[in-house]
Order: sequence, then C-alpha cells, then structure tokens
Amino acid sequence: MIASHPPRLADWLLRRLASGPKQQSLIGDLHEQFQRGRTAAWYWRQTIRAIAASVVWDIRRHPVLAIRAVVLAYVFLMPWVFFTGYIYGTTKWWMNDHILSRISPVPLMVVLQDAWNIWGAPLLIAWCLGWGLVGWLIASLQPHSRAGMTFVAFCAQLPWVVQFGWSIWTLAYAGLPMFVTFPTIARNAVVLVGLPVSLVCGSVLAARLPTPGESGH
Amino acid sequence: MARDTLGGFELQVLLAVVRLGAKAYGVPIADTIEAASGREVAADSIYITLDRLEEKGLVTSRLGESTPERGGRAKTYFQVTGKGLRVVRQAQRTLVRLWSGVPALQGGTA
Repeated sequence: MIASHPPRLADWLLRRLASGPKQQSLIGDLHEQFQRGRTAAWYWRQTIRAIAASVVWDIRRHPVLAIRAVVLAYVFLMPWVFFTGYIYGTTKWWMNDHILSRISPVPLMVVLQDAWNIWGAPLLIAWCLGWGLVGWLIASLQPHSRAGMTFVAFCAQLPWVVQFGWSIWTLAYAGLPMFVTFPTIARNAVVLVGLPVSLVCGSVLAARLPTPGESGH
Repeated sequence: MARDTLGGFELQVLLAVVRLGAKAYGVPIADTIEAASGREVAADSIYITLDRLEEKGLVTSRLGESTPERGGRAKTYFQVTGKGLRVVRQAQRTLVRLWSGVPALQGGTA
C-alpha cells in the first residue's frame, strides 16, 4: 500500500533544514517520487542526504555567516555560563535556607533541595535554555542557511562542552561512592548531550516553514 | 577552458537533460540516470549539479507548474543551452577518442 503522506518527521525536518538550490522543487520532487511508490526508508535516506548536503552548501556559500554563527555562539554562551553560574552560586544557600527548607510536606522539600543543591537542576535548565536560545537566534538570523549555520554553532560549542563534560567525568570517578557520583554523571550527560541537543532543537523550532510557492533561494 | 570541463556526474545529468528535452525536471532526470546506471541517485545531488551547470551557462532553468502530488510545490524545468550542447559534444569526442583502440576495452560488457 502506498502511504499518502511521506514520513511526517522526515518531511518536517526536510522543510525546516533543507536549503541549497531550488529547495522547494527538491522537496516537491521527493513528494512526487514518494507518491509514485518509493518507501519510507528511501524518503528518510533522501532527507538525511539533503540536510547533509544543505550543511555543506550553506557553509561553502556563506563562509562569513558561518564565522558570524561561531562568534554569536561564543559571545552569548560564555557570558551566559558564567552569569548563570554566578547567580546559582550566590543564591544556592539562600534559596535552600529561606525557601526550599520551608516547603511542606517534607518529602517534596527533600526532592526539591536535592534537585537544587545536588543535581544543580536550575543551572542545567538555564544552560539548556541558553543553548536553545542560541540555536533559535542563529536560525532566525540566517533562515536560508539554517542547517549549515546550526552545524557550525554546534561544532563551535563542542570543545567547551567536551572539556567541561570531561572535568565533571573525572570528578565522578574520583573514588567516591555511587550515590555521590550518580548526580555528577547525570549532570555530565546533560552537559554532553542535553546542551548540543538543545541548540539543535532551538534552531529547528525557530526555522520558519517556507510556503510551497516560495522560491528555494 | 577549465571551467567548462565536466565531471562524471555532471556529464550524466547534462545528458539526461538533453535526452528529456522540454520535460527535464528533477524526477525524470533522476529516473533517467537511475535507469542507465542502475544505482540510486540522490535528489539533492541532482540539484547541486544542475546549479553548477547553470552557473557555467550550460543549462537554464524556469519554474513550472505545481501539482497536488508534489505538495503544491512547483517543478523547476531545465533546458540545455547552445554552449551546453557544444560541451557535451566535446566530451563525447574526447571520450570516444580515449575509448577507441584500447584492447582491454574491446568486446567486453563489464
């Protein structure tokens, strides 16, 4: 049986991330071929290839925009990390003593205190939001080359994320018991995976969907 | 001129455009190359190649009609230019000269 609509997620990603020459005609071609009996696996293959080609296309065509994306990522993310870290550090015990310790019932208070103090949840959420915002900003500023610019920003923040994640990782294996290291490992996972994913999500969600009649240029 | 030389895939795409005439857009171009080569062709690589050929002045493009099965998106039709035809003929002559008289290539089908 031939499905009437190509895989929705693939189509959604394609519409949001594909760029390059005659982008709308390319999407139309893929739709047409799918209607003529191509499989969902074929559609996914074409989508991934088209997005990968868009990345290369965008960077080759717009090297200056790529540099701007790198600068934008660093100019926003570095101050954001230090600012949120400072705010978290200075308010951590105040929040604990004046607000969290007064919450009832006690089990909820314990959960929130653990999330606040041990897991560093507010800091991680703030960082994920910051990374998402950068992705959103880059895609909004460069809507016609969003795939390439998002990839560039993704790569730009990787050294910092890996370096930061590595330092947390070494802490986690400093010979401490599991109940102490587990939150650290979880934090590490959020830093290594959650932040880059937040950046990509921000970018994908920001990208304006072109209308069918719109030119791909 | 170095800019007018064609890569292997560029030549295939250009030949498909010549072969299809007025009906040359992404889908039949891909079908033609797939039928000839027996390999799956990525749609994006066709458009990237056609864009390169257009920059070289070997093809021109125009926006065509949209159909419901394309999700309302218009086709982009391509047509080979005079310069494009000259380049294809030149490539053919070069390849034929290179092919001819090579004993290892005589009579085989592989």
